[in-house]
Amino acid sequence: MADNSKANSGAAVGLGVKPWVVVVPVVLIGLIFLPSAAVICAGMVPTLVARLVDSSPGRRLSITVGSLNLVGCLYFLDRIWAAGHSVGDIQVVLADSFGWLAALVGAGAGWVIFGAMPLVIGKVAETQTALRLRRITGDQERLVKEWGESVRGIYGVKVASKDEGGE
Amino acid sequence: MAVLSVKEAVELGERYEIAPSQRLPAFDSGMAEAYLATDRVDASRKVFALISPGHLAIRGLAIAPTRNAAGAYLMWPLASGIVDWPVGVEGNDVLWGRRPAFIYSVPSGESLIGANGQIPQMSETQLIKSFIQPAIQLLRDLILIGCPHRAIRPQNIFFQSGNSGDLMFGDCLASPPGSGQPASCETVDNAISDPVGRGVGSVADDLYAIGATAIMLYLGRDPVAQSTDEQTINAKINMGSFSTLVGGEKLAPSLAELFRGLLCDKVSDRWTIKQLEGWMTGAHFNPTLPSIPQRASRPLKFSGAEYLNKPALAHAMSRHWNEAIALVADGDFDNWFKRGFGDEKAGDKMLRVVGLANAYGPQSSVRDRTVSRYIILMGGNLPICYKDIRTTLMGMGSMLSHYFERSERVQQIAEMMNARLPHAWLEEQPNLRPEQMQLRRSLEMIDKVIDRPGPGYGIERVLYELDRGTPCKSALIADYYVVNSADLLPAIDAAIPGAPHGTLPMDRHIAAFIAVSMKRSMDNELVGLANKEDDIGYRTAILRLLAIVQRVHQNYDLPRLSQVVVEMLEPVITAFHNAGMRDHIRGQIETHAQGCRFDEMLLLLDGDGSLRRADTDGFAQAMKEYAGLERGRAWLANGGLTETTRVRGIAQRAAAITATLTGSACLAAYAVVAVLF
Repeated sequence: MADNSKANSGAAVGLGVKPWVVVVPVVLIGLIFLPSAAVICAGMVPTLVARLVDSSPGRRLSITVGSLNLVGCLYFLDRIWAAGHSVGDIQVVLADSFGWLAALVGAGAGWVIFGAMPLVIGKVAETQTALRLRRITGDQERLVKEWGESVRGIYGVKVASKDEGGE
Repeated sequence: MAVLSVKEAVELGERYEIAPSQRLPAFDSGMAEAYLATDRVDASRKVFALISPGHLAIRGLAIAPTRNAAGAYLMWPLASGIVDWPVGVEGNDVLWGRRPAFIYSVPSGESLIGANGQIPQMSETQLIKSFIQPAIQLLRDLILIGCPHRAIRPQNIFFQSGNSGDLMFGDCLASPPGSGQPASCETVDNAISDPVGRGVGSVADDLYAIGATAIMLYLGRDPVAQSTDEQTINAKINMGSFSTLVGGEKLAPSLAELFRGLLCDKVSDRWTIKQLEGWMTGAHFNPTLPSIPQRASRPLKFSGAEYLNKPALAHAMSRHWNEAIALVADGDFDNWFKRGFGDEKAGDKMLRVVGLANAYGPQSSVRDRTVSRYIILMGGNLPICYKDIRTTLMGMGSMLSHYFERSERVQQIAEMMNARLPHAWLEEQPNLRPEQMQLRRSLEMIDKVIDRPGPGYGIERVLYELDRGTPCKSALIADYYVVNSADLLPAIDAAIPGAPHGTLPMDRHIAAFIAVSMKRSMDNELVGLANKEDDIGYRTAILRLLAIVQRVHQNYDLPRLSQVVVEMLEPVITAFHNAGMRDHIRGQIETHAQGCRFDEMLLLLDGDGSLRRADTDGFAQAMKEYAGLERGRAWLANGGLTETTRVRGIAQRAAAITATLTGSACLAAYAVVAVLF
C-alpha cells in the first residue's frame, strides 16, 4: 500500500497532479469497497513484485504485468461479488486456488509479453532496415542515372572488397 | 607565284574571265602579276587582269569603284573584286584560295620603256604636252578621290597610242603604294624605307615622282642607273634631289624652275598642283632653294666613309647596324654630335635619347634602341629604323603583314613597338598629316594590347590595328583574303572541309581580326579565350565570338561551320550534369545547327544562362540528397534501427501498450457481461 501510494504519488506527480488528489479518493473507494479492494490487492501481489524489480523507464514492466494481472484478478472480483461482497467472504474467496491461478497466469502472460517483445521488435527492425536500405539504394541509383557518377561526390570512391584485392 | 596549269577560267563578276595559266609578264605591276582575261560581252576588247598578293592590304579594292575608267591618261580598272584563285597544288589537286583582281584594258600604245629598256628622250615641248599635261589631269582626278598614285615611274607609263604622243600612267591600285618605285623616283625618306613599308604617302610624293620621271624623259636616261640605292640616297641627302638627278646637265631656266620645285626635298617648299598648273600657264615663282642639311664643322668617319651632316650619318647607320652600335658608344661621335653643329642643347638631347632608350625595353637591346633614337633625332623625317626594319610610320602595317611569317622580323617589329619608337618619331616631326595623327590613336591602343598574351591581343592584334585592310592571316583562312568581317564566317565555312578533323574555328588571328573589326571593345568576350585549361569556358567563348559576328553580319548559310560548332560544343553539353537536360540541349543544338543560329546555341549554353544555373543548382541539390541518403545508409548499417537500446525501449513500450489494451478489452468485456447477464 505504501509502495502503491508512492507509485501513485509518482504517477500523479508525472501527470502534474498532486499525489493526495489521487491517493485520498483511492483510499476512500477502497474503504467503501473493502472486500473488492482486499481481494484485488492480494491478487495484484505479482504486480507489486514486478514493480520492485522494474528498472525500465516509465515502469513499463509494471504496466505490462499489472494490466494482465488485473485481468486475472477479475476471477477474485467476480467471486467476492457473487458471494455477497462482505468482509467475511474475503478469506473464502482468497482460498480459491483457481483465482490465484488466474491472477498468476495473467501476471505471467505480462512477463512473457514483456520478455518476448524485444525479439519481435528486433525482427521488425531488421525487416525495416532491409526495406529502407533497398529504398535508399533505389533513390541513389536514380540520382546517379539522372546526374551521373559525379553526384556521388566524396562517396564516389569505390572500396574494393577482399575478393577483388582490397584490404 | 608559279603559274599553275589550271584549265578552268576564273570569273570576276558575270562579265570577265581570267585565265590562271596564261601569264602576261609585260603588264606586271609591282607585286601584282598580269594574266590574260576575256570580256564576255565584248570579245574583241583586249583586257588583262592584275592579281595582287594575298598577304597584304590592297587599297585598290576600296578605291577602284570610286571612279569609272574614263580618261586616256590613266589606266583604271574596268572591274575589281576578290576572285577564286589557284594558290597551290597538292598531289593532283589544285588548291584554291582567293585574291584581289583588277581588270584593265590592254593599252593601245606601247610601253614607254622600249624592249631594249631605253627611256625615250623628249624635248621640252614634247615633255609638257605628252607628260606634264596628262600628269596634271591625273593629279586632279586623284586629288578628288583622295588617292595618291604612288607608282609614277617610267616603267609604269604607256603611250596612249602607238609609240609616240601623249602618255598614260599605269596601274596604281594592285600593289601596295610605292612598293614598285625605284629609289630615283622616291623622296629620301621613302627611298630609305623598305619598299613594302613606304605607306600610302601623299600627292606631294606623286609630284616628286613626276619631277624625277620628267628629268629622265628630258635626259633620255636614268641619271642614277649606275648607282646603288644607297649611293643615290646619299647623294640626295648631301646634294639635294635636284642636283643628284640633274647633275651637271644644262637646263632651260623654265625647266630648271619646274624640276627644282617638284624635287624640293623639303615637303613644305615642294610645289603643289597649283604651282604646277601655274607654271603651265607661264607663271613664275620664287626660286625653290635646295634643302641641304646643316654641315658639321668636321667630318665623322663611319663604316669606311666620312659624314658631314646628321641625316647622311643617320641613313648610313640604318644600313650598318652593328657598326652603328659601336659608333654611338664612341667618344668621337659624342664630340661630333655635341660640338660639330654649334647646338648648345645637343648634350641634353643625347642624355634624353639615352634615358628614353633605357626606359622602354629590356636591357639586352638598349643599344639597339639607342641607335634607333639617334637616327630619329638626326634623320628628321627619315623612316623609323630598328635593326633590319626600315619603315615609314604609315607603312608599319604593311611591313608587319609582309614579314609576318619571318619570326625574327616580327620580333624586331614588336621590339620597335615596345620601345615606343613610333611615338618618338611622331614627337620629332614639326608637322603631322591627318592620317599620321590618326595613327597616334592606334598606337595608344597598341600600347595596351601588345604585351597581353591571350588570343585577340599581342602581335596579331597589332597587325590588324596598324592596317585595318590587312587580310586575316589565320592558317585556316589565309588563302581566302578576308579583309572584311562580313566575309569571315563564310570563309571559315568554306575552309572547314580542307582542315584536319577537330580543328576549332578560332585562333589568335581570327580573334584579333574580330576584336579590331567590331566597333565596341571585345575585352569581355576575349577573357574566356585566354584560359584554355577551362575547356568549357574556352569553347563557349569561341561560340560567343562567332555569334557576335553572325549577329552583326546576318550570315546564316554556314552549314559546315555549323556542324563543326556542334562537334566543338559536345564537351560543353556533356558538362551539364543532368542527363535529361543534356538530351534536351543536344536536341535543341541540332535544331539550331540546321538554321546555323549560333546566338540561339549560346543562349542555351552560356555559363551565366538560366539552363546552366538550373543545372548547377540542381546538381548541388542532388549531391546533398545523395549525401543524405548515404548518411542514412551508414546509420542503418551501423545498427540504426536494430540498436539494442532502441529496440528494448520500443519493445517495452509495445509490451506495455499491448498488455494495457488487452487488459482494457478484457475489463470492458467483463463489464458488459456482468451488466447484461
